[in-house]
Amino acid sequence: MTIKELFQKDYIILDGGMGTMLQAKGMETGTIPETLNILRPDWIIDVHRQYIEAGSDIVYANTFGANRFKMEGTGFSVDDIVSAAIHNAKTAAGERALVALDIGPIGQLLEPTGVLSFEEACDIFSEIVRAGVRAGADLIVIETMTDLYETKAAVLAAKENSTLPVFVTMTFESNMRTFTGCSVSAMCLTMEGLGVDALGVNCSLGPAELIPIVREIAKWTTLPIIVKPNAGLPDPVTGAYDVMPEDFAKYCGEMLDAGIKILGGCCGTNPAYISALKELLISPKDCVIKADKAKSRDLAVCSPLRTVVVDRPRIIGERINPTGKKRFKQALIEGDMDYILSQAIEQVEAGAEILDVNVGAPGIDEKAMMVRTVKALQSIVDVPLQLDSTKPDVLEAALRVYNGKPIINSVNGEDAVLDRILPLAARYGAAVIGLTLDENGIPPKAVDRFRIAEKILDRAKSYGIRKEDVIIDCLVLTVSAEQKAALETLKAVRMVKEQLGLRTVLGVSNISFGLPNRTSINTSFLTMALYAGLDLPIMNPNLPAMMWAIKSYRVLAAIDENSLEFISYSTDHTPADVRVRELTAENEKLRTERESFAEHPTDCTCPRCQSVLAARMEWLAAKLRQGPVGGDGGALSRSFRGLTDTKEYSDLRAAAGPEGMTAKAGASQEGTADPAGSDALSYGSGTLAEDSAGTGRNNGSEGSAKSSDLPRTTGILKAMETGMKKDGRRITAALLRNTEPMSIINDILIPSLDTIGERFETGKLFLPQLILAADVASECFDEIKTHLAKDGNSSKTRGRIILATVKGDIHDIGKNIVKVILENYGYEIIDLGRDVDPELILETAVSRDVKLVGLSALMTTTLGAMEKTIRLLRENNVDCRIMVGGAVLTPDYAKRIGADYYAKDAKTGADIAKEVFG
Amino acid sequence: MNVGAISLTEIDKKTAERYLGYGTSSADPVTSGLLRKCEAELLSEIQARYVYKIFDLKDGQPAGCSLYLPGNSIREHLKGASKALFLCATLSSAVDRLIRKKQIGSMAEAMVTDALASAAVDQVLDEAEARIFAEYPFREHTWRFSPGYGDLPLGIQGSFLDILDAPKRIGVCVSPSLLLTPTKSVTAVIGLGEHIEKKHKKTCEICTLRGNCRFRPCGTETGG
Repeated sequence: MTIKELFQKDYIILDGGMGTMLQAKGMETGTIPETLNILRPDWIIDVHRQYIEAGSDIVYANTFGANRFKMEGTGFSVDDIVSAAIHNAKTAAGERALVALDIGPIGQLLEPTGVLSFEEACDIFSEIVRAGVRAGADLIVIETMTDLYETKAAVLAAKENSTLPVFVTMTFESNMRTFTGCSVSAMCLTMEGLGVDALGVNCSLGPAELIPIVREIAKWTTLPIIVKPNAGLPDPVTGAYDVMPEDFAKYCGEMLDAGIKILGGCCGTNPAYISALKELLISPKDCVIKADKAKSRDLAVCSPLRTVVVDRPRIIGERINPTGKKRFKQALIEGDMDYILSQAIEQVEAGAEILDVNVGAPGIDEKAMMVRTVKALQSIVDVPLQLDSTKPDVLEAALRVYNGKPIINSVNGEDAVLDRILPLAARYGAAVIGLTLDENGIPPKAVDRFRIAEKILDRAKSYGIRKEDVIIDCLVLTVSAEQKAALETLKAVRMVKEQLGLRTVLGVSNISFGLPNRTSINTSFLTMALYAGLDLPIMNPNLPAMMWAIKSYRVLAAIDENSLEFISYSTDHTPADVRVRELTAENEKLRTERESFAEHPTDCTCPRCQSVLAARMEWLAAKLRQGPVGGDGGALSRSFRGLTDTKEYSDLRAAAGPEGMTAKAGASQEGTADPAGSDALSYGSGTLAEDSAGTGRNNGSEGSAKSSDLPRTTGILKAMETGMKKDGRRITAALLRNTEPMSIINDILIPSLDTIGERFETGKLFLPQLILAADVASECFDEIKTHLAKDGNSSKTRGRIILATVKGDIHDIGKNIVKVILENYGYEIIDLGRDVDPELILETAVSRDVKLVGLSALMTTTLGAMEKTIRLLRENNVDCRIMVGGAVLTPDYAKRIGADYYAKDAKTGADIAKEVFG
Repeated sequence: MNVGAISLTEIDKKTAERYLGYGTSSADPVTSGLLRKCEAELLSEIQARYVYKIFDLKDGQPAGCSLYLPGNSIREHLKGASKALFLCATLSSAVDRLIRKKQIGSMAEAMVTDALASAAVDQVLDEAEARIFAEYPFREHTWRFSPGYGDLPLGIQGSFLDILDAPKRIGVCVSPSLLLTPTKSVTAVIGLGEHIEKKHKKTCEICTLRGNCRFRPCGTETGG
């Protein structure tokens, strides 16, 4: 029998549990079951034989955990175990059944939660696959997976090292997610994209509980579905499973109409369960569902955590792209991943549903940067990614490491491009954007762009790419240059949408280059394009006007039923209102808290009192900004006022006098029941006066640098004390108008940090407050960096420092805290991350001429790696100092392993840096 | 092998404050605000699970189990107990993800979330214990003793997890350098019995951080 013949049958029967059978034979808890392939082949052969006699068409060889980690220390190699296991299964099967190479999870978590890299996982699985192929397995099953990334590594290993059919089953909980959060849809989209032959679910639950999961799988795939349930749920006391063979078969019978073709049992099942299944399936069923590969579906892309179905306009965020952005280019050159990630988080929070990722810039190793960026992005945001490059090798590298189903941006109508990139889309199961241009450029007429779209679709189909995975970009030209082109683009969009039935994408912002008030042009064009049939606008979601245009369109096009989404968005996105609501609640709380230390004098300068005052000030200012509530046209007009938040706030502050008085009046009315009220006011006036002083200096009027800088220093310090990041950024921006960046850093930011640092050291402040101040300082620095980048400059560094969490250690929060503080002090940090090879630290220290290396380790087990790193640096006579830190370190131990300094906390780290660099 | 899920509705902020270095002082209003904000976000990400197995003790060792518990500390710990409860609990990898994400936007929030998560693991273990003790009404039990305490080596983590089938049951694995992943996970051995000597209290004696502890002067009993 071949697998092809087997697939002709209506149903395929798998085997049941192996572990339970071996325990019944006397295997002790803690034994590695795969070793029994060699130590007790008679047991293994007997289990297979029993299943085959019960009716199994396929038996899983006893290779579930046969990977190099688990075999370490058993005295057997992966090859030994796999070939013995396949041999045992074949011995039992003869011609009666097929033998599957069974691949389970490695038993270690992959990056980013664990330390195992995706590439190493691929390598581990490849070793097993090659052994299985050599031993003569008939097919490969990848089962009990909970991490989509690990599953992808296994499937790539199977595909790249064999031509055998591949079955994949993952393990879902009753919430329809795996332990790592992977959804059913993400499994189906990703695995079908990678070209597996059948997919489904095994383990964790009994057949009754799996019914909803199987129905969900059926919604997302046209492949044959596999179900291998446990024998119910284990009894909490005895551990025995609670579903008997007859009921097991009955529940499985209830799932057949969902399109299940392949059935078996997992934990707690034995040959009796397989016999019952055989009994169930022996009579011909009228409900056999044949997989319908041609069934048309909506385009959907995914990460493990989030699936985006393009059944309505979906927003693609455009900001991860260096084009025209100096600050972003600088971040790429410096390898400043935090900046790139902050751009991602900002867009997702603003409403982006997919993120375009483009990291190509002159002088950048685009391939390495792309891989690094994709891995970093998917470790913190859950939206699917759109991989944007013109280079096939960059795209392939990104497609490999992407966890889910992405979009490729892009191909065009040129034959050479199509034939280079479409095979990649097919192999990795990505959707692909086709630009309607070719070797002759962009056709001016819609009909010619339509023809290119047709060609792209045909070629994509010829590579086996499904129609719904082809997305067409009819190309936006700048309206100021070619005014008639805008309508031509929209015409092409409509044709592609209506005549080809394809999804469409446009880079919306291109339309307005060279015109003033670009947002106005952009929003109008966006609405027109949506009406013409645009599905995927690539845009800046941080611009509220663009988001409102999308949300409004969804109402007008009857997509947003009963305007529910619009109403809820309106409630959440009128910043002034929201802030006032939050602050009112905060104010109440602060009032209560203030009462608890009422003995403090009204002009008290202790941090507690100061933070209450600062919060009160913000509350008052926000209330003022919002204006009189009611009778002003309701939420919408207020919301637009809220959108210009920053400007109004600065206007308010600049205007000082009269409005300040209003605030005063308003507050004193409340003041009767408000002990903190008057304090807030005095602080408030102080701040307003402070800005006036700044303005005065701006106008060239009297006032020494000292007297006007002093309040600003106080302003920054206040922001640091209260953790008001926006205040920090705003004050810095104001300072930048008339102060040298370096002078802001040296005369204001660093002294403020020192002040906070001193208070921390003397126990007046605690660690979270120190770090909060550092967060504010980071905002100030970012403002300065952005300012400098505009002129093509970067800030001068006080010295270059390597920071790394040593090999084997993944607890890097301490190292990252030190990084923030040191950056604030103006040092250039080369952050090598966590789990860092000693060799990489050595190489970086030498090649970048680094004078201070900071190493962290949290666990006793990783101190060895720290010692090894220090030894390596010393042996190679690297001219650098080494500081070490981490929970388990002591000053003595630091000295013993050869470190120059022991940093007990981040502040000490900054002191050490000062000592080293002077 | 039994598995359970626990849903927390509140996190012990006092403990989190202690982890943040506040000692006996209370947090300032700004940090209190951070604690409340981060608590809400963390609670929505935690998917706490635990798995356990109970072994009869024979000469201080679990019977019918291939894992030998080496060292004096564990022998002392289990003195007088008739059974040993092997327990592993986790807050899930979603928490690691949240902390990673927080580090991009605000290191202070990341640190506060990390401290809250550490407090939450303890609460999950407390709740898991309470449920298990309700099912197995032994008169007495010891406190939780984890690999790495005293002379019980961290090296047993892998076998310990395998015995509980923790990778498959609750998604907890161990890295080659013996760190548990997801990071907010704990393994522990608890002695159960009718007559356990009361002197086995949790002290700093067996702590690897002895003499270098941020949380309390040495020699005092921990809150454990």
